[in-house]
Amino acid sequence: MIKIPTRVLLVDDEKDFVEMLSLRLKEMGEKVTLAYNGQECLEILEKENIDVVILDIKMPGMDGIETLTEIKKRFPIVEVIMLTGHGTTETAVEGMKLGAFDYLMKPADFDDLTVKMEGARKRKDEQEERIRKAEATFLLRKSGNI
Amino acid sequence: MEGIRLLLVDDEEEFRRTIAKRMTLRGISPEQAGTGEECLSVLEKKPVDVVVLDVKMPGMSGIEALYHIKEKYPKTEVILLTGHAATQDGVEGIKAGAFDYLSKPIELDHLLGKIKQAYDKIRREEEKLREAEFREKMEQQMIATERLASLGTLAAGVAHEINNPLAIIKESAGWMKLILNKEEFAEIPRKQDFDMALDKIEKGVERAKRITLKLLGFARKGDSVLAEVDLKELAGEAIQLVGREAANREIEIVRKMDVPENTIWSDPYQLRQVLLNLITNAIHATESGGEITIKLEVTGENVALIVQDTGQGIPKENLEKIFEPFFSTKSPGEGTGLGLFVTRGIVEKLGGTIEVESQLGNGTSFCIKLPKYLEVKEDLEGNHHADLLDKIVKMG
Amino acid sequence: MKSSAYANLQRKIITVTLLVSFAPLIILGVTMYYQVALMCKDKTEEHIKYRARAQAQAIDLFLKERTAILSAMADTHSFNDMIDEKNLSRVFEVMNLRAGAFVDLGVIDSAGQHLAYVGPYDLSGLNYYQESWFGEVMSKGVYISDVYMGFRQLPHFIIAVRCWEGQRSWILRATIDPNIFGAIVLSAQIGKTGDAYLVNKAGIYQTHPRFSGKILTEFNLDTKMFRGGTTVIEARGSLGNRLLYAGSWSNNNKWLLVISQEPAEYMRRLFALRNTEIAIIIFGIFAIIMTTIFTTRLAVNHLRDSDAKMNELNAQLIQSDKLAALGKMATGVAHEINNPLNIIIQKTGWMEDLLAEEEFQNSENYGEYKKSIEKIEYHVERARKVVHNMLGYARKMEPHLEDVDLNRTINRTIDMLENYARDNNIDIQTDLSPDIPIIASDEAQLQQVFMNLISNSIDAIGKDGLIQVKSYRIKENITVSITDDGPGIPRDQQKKVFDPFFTTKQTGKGTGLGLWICYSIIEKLGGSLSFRSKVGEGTTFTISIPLIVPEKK
Repeated sequence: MIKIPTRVLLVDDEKDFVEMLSLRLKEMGEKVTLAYNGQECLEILEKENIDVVILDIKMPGMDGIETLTEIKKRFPIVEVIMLTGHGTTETAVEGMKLGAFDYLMKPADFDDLTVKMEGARKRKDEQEERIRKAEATFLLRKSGNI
Repeated sequence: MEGIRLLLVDDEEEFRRTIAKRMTLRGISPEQAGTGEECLSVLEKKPVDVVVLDVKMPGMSGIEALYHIKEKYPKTEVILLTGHAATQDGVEGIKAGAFDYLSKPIELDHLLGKIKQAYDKIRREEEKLREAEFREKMEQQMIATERLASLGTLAAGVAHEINNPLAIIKESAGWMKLILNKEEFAEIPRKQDFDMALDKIEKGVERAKRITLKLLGFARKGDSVLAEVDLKELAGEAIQLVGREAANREIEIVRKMDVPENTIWSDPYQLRQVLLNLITNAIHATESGGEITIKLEVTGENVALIVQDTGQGIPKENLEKIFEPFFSTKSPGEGTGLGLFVTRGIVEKLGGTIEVESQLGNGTSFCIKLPKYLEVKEDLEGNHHADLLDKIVKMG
Repeated sequence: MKSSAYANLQRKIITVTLLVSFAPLIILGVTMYYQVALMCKDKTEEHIKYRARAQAQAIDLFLKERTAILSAMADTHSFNDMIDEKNLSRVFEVMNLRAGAFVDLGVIDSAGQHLAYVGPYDLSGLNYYQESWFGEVMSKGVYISDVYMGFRQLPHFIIAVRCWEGQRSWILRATIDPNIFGAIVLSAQIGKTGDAYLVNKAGIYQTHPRFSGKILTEFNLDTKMFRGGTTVIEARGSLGNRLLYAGSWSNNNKWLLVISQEPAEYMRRLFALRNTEIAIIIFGIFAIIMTTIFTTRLAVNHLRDSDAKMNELNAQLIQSDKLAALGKMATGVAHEINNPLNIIIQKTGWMEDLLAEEEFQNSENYGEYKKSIEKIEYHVERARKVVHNMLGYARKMEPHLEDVDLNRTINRTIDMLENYARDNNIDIQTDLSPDIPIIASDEAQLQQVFMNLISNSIDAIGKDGLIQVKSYRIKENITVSITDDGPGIPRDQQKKVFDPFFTTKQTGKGTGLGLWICYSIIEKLGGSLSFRSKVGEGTTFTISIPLIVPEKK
């Protein structure tokens, strides 16, 4: 079976963490892009096609929650997995309310991360499929009307 | 009058004896000294509250002796006996720190009155000193509490700060392992050693993570919630948390909680704090080899939790004060001085009462009575939280 | 306490206060009223009694005068002169001139024969022998009759005197004008409702009463109720209204002069008094109610406030304890982290050693492996530092003096708070003077002060800002200033900043003890702590501690 690489965007202000995790994900065959803050993350989403964003909640400047709000507003189809070092469920709950796919406690188990990433990817694919179908019916109906 | 330690110094033995005899009849038995030197040597051997000192003595004069006494034993009060016309001596004596002076011939009742006044003064000073000490101690206590409290506020942040490097370490190790397991590395020498080391590192991270999670768990559990509380389990949890301290002191903690109903409806976190406070107190009060018993009794609509130790007990005069804030017999580093105050506050908030019984030498027992079902009186926090969780469940 | 309990307390206090203050007020009012009423009545009674007596005396005088003049006339004229009607009319004129009130005058002989008469009625020739008064005059010498109708069918009364002339006796008789007499009696009445009249012993009106009854009809009261002298009684009048009667006997106890008056008459002033009193009492009650409610409310509110404050204080104490307990557990737990960290660092070291062996030098992943291991080592160190800082802060609870490098202490504190600040996008800048010597002080407590002040600054800013920490030496003092660009402290709160338990943070965040503790720590170390703040610009806290060089050991 040929694996289609998931296009992952890693966002965290911890440079070392982002680099190490990206090495690992790349080794797994995913396509990884890096960003070190919220602003950068949004810029990359603007330019590139991304399936899943892995987003740290605590970041200086634009924090994870703000970034998440912005992502869901501008790129609703992109799935977001949140990383929290704080362990406070409150922020996680807030993130879930804002439409994050799931959250992980730092330091996260790599297997957990891959499972959740797969899930997010799957949901995104389904969503896209649905949209495509909807568009198709819309187009069909349109042509039928003519 | 009783209990005053008095020293009578006069070179006239006859006079001394008569006075001493008459005083003994009234409940004071004074020490006696014939000279200033003798007086000082008596003081060296035995602490004295009040010295009645004749001014005119051969050898060391009364005034001289007074200077020595005041220098060495500033807390001792001195009453001078002067000759009839020698007010000069008296004035000088007062300047040197004597309590008062009396002219000979003296009236015994007058002298006794003065002695009593001097003794009262000593007691007042002592009281003042104690109060100042207490205040000082309380302030230290508050400083220590505040420091711990600010640490408490930081705890979540600290956990976060540790989790970040841990995450990096974990990813590094994970990546190295991934590389190691690639086919082209199958032949690498000492592969197993690397594998093991990386395993150990990952395990170390896991362990550290568990610890920070625990820390975060503490930090989080500040909110009030109402839930079904298994008191037996709760006591077990509390014992676990302080178990090491008890073990270090070789104190055994016994649970006698086998009752048919050991669950109540209350606030588990607050109750745990109560239990923790009481058990910690009990551990600190018990000498090594002692025993702490936690009992559970059910009576009607109430349950009673009893924490009993075999420690030294609480003196009666402290029994009323133990629930006051910042009253502590521990050193500033050990206790916050708020433990029992807070405990009572929580117990009352949970609709219960707390009582203490203590016998010096035999130990202390705290009894908390709690209602089986705590009715919600205030808008306890946490409902909000539960709402959100509900929503998430529905979303999922 | 719940709010209902306060309402209850308030109600109770108000009720008791009102009861206690109303009761005496009302009792006083009522007693005073009755006292005054009694006095008023006494006075009125006294008054009418006096009038009655005076009037009775006036009547006696009137009768005596008439009798005297009649006797004088009889004594100074002979029978024969008198029966000459011409002479008689002259006598009559003289009498009316001197005394007045005579209607007619007649001479009667011992046989009862009316021999001569002057007056408006034709009465001469009548024989009075059968009349009862005739016998009375003959035996007693003087006679004053009750009022009667007589031959002329008009109410009147007569005065008759007997004279002796040798062996012969005759009678001079005069009729008194009932109108004049009535007017004299009536003049005793007082006020609008007052009345005055004469009643004889049998209870027959002798004069016209003003309001009820007629002359010669029966008086509604029994005259026996009036004892000798002058008496006052209260009784129902003929119209059924309550009246005050004063009776005084006159005319040798034959006639009773009665003065009657409605109590209402004298009560009028009393009523006025009563109305004033009631008004005052009502006003008083109103004032009491208002002030009671007002003061009680004030007191209860005060109580409620202080209770609330007390509760808040307790809550804050509980909070500090909770946080302290948490801090204590945190230090314990943090300590445990050192163990796994040690294992990690050992294993990486060992891997480093392995890599150093030759066979790996040429491996294609050697570089990356090396880099990873270094990273692990770096981050273990990082985690260890966090733990170390925390434990350093928690240890040493007892105050003690030691060598303190102030700049290092400041840096350590900032290390602990840096992440917190960065998360909130707050920059902490330091400007620490290098020429600060080592001093003898208490490092843990100083760190506590810096910690409190800097974290306060972070909380004050909230998000996005700058904190500047400076240290410099001024002569024999070291000054540390911490400046934030937060919202500043409002002027009205500036005084309270160092009070224990003063906090503007939400519960759960601070103990409210922070600044108070800073203040007392610095004071104990012999220094001073002050601040300058301007709303909208920020706050600067300045610590000044004396430069105490540690003793050489």
